[in-house]
Amino acid sequence: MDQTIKPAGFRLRVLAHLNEWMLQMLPHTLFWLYISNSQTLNLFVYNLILYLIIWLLPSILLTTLVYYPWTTIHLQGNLGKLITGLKVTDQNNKPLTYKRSLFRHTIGYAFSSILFSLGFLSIIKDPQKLGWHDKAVGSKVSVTANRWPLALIVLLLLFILNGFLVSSSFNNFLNGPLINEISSLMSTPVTPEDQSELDPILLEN
Amino acid sequence: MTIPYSHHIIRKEATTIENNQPDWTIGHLYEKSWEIVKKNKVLWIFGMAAAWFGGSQYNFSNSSSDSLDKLPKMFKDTPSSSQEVTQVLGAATDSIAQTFQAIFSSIPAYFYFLLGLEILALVIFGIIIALIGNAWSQGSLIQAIQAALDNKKPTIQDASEKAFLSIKPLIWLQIVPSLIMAIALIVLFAVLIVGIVATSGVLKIIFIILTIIGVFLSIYGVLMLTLAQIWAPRVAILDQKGGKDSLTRGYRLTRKKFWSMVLLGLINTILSGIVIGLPLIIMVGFLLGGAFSLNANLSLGIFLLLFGGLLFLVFLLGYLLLSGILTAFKASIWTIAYNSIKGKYGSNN
Repeated sequence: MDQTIKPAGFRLRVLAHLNEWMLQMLPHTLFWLYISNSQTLNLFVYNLILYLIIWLLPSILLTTLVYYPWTTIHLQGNLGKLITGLKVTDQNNKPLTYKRSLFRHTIGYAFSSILFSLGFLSIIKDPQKLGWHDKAVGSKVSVTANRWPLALIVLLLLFILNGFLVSSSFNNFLNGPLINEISSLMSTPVTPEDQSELDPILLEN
Repeated sequence: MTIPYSHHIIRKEATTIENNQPDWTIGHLYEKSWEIVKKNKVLWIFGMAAAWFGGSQYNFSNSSSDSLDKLPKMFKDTPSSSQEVTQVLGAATDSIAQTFQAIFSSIPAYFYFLLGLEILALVIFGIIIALIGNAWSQGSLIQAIQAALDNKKPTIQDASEKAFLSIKPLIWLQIVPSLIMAIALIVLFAVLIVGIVATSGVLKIIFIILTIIGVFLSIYGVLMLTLAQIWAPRVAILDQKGGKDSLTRGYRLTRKKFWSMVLLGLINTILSGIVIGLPLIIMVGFLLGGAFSLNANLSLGIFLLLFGGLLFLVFLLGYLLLSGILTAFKASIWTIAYNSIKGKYGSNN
């Protein structure tokens, strides 16, 4: 094993994970902002289902089956890891295969998260800084460049951006017409006449 | 230099054949299994993984999480949630339900089609991942146990690397035999029931007799398959055989060791019941005692309730660890038993 390659410790890996998480949250929070601008309950439900179909459900599959394996094979790490200056390889410093990468991100992570994420916490004590998922697939995470200050700044910016989008979504929801419609729906029964008024709004969309 | 356990087994096999002694004694299996599980914490980890991924196994095999299988049934037995909510909230809910019904009916139909398709894809993906996870965790656990039996230090790396080679046959064993058995039983009973309904007189009586025989045969078949499925994964993992070959060898061993296996399985079941059930009984005792003594002695009642609640919390937190140790222990028992009969009774052919 190449001794000059420095294994990435727990803190760097958490930083990379948070960056990745914040990056992946961005399209979601943008969608939430869009949904929160819905003017009627019909439109809200319509947009919510649209969000499920266009983004939420496909992203779960695509992230697991395409994004993680592809970035791990070709870039040797997802965007969060690249920003933090980390790379994922096998024990011989070669890129992981598709099967191993997929295994690492699905069963490997599930394995490490057993019993209060003990497998992730084991990185702290392990001499080679390997988590259970690394040991299970024969992978390791190494430092390629000392980019943690950049990663920290990116994380902060992403945190602010996501926070702003989430709070704007809440504001839109709480101060828009939607909350009134929901509260009036809870207090008064809706008649078929009300429904006939609601339907054209949806048809316009 | 220490001699690997499998060498002891071979020597012991020879002695066994000469002396006409049993292949295993339950006391020896339990003692040896406890020794290696106590010594190798990595077995706990794989035991937890096997319990986590393999919710569909039972005491005659590796996992102890059979109680999880009962959850869907429990939900099935409860009344429909929407039905109950409507009954409780009455007319006000009706108008809300009507509004939402109108909203959902105005959504284009292809939205639901796409949504259904995506959910189906996710479910299929989840099932595939669960099958692989189950096969891998089972393979890793048995490989780690074998390493410990050979006086080597089991590691996650070694066990996992070896387990990757057995994933395909293990998945085959998880799906194909049960599927074939289910299809065969469905076809058999469909034919028999049609025979009973469509015929009359002597022919009807013959069909009824055949159905009774069919019931006994299917019970025997399911039992044999269940027991053969204990050896088959060990053949696939430790001897690197394919799924079909492993099942055939597992079946041969089962035919020879049927009653010994049933006995060992029953004792394992009792052990699991004690390990998991006893803490539960104690907790329930404290909680019930607390509830009943509230009227007579308030402070004692509150103390017992709090203590019972605390025990419950500890049990919840420690449940996975406990089930992991238990799974590893039971898997060790069967693996040691397998080592003691490996190569015998025509299982090599």
